[in-house]
Amino acid sequence: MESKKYKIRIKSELSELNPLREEIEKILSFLDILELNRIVLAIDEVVSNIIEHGYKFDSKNIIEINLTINNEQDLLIEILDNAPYFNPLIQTKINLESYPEEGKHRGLGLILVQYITDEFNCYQRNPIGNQYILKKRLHVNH
Amino acid sequence: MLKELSINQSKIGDVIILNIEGKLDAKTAPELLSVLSAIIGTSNKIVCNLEKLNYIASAGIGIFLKFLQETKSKNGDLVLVNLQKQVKDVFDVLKFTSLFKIYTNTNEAIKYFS
Repeated sequence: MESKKYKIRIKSELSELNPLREEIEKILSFLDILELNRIVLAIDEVVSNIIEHGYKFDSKNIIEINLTINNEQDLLIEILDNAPYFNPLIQTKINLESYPEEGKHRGLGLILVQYITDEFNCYQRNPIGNQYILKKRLHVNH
Repeated sequence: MLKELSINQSKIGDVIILNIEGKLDAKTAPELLSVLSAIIGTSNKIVCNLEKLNYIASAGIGIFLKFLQETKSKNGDLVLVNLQKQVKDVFDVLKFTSLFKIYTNTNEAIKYFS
């Protein structure tokens, strides 16, 4: 089984989002535009969430994004931070259908991640931090 | 350095047209929020032309949703025009596409308000 691994480290600043997306687009350039965009978006949403809620926009921290691509079929994304523990699954239980009536417009990011990925989990790191695991089966036309 | 988001504004009658270009994410979304917040005091008929919007994250979707709600509460509307397929896909994933009126050209969107 052919496995390719990529490691990206960024500062916890929103200005890093665009360069991060561009780097992921290069790594996953073999995918079609919609699938590529969804995966880039999922990573963007987790990282944005870490910067805003985990690190409270403190730019002195690092976020690590590790990609493992197996046979161009399975993608494993690991995102690591040193922020206080956060369980994204609590937020993803929100009822999206009630959003418009209830006048809500925030908190959509992690819901998007859950819809886009096949698996999405967060584990507490020791002694501090979170390990976000995103898994996606890829659809590649050869 | 190339700006990640640019917003140009024009008016036809009492309809505001916003041409939104580039990428809407957590970093750039506050700029759109600022523009729409300023508009909502003067007009509740807004056409957002997204022909040159290449990327949208939840921060951008949230702003469109917020101002859809605000314009509708004042008997107006916020409509979207010319969504690129990867941008429309994000609305589709959230099942928000049916919430918005979406047009393929700006003239049709403006006619909606007349």
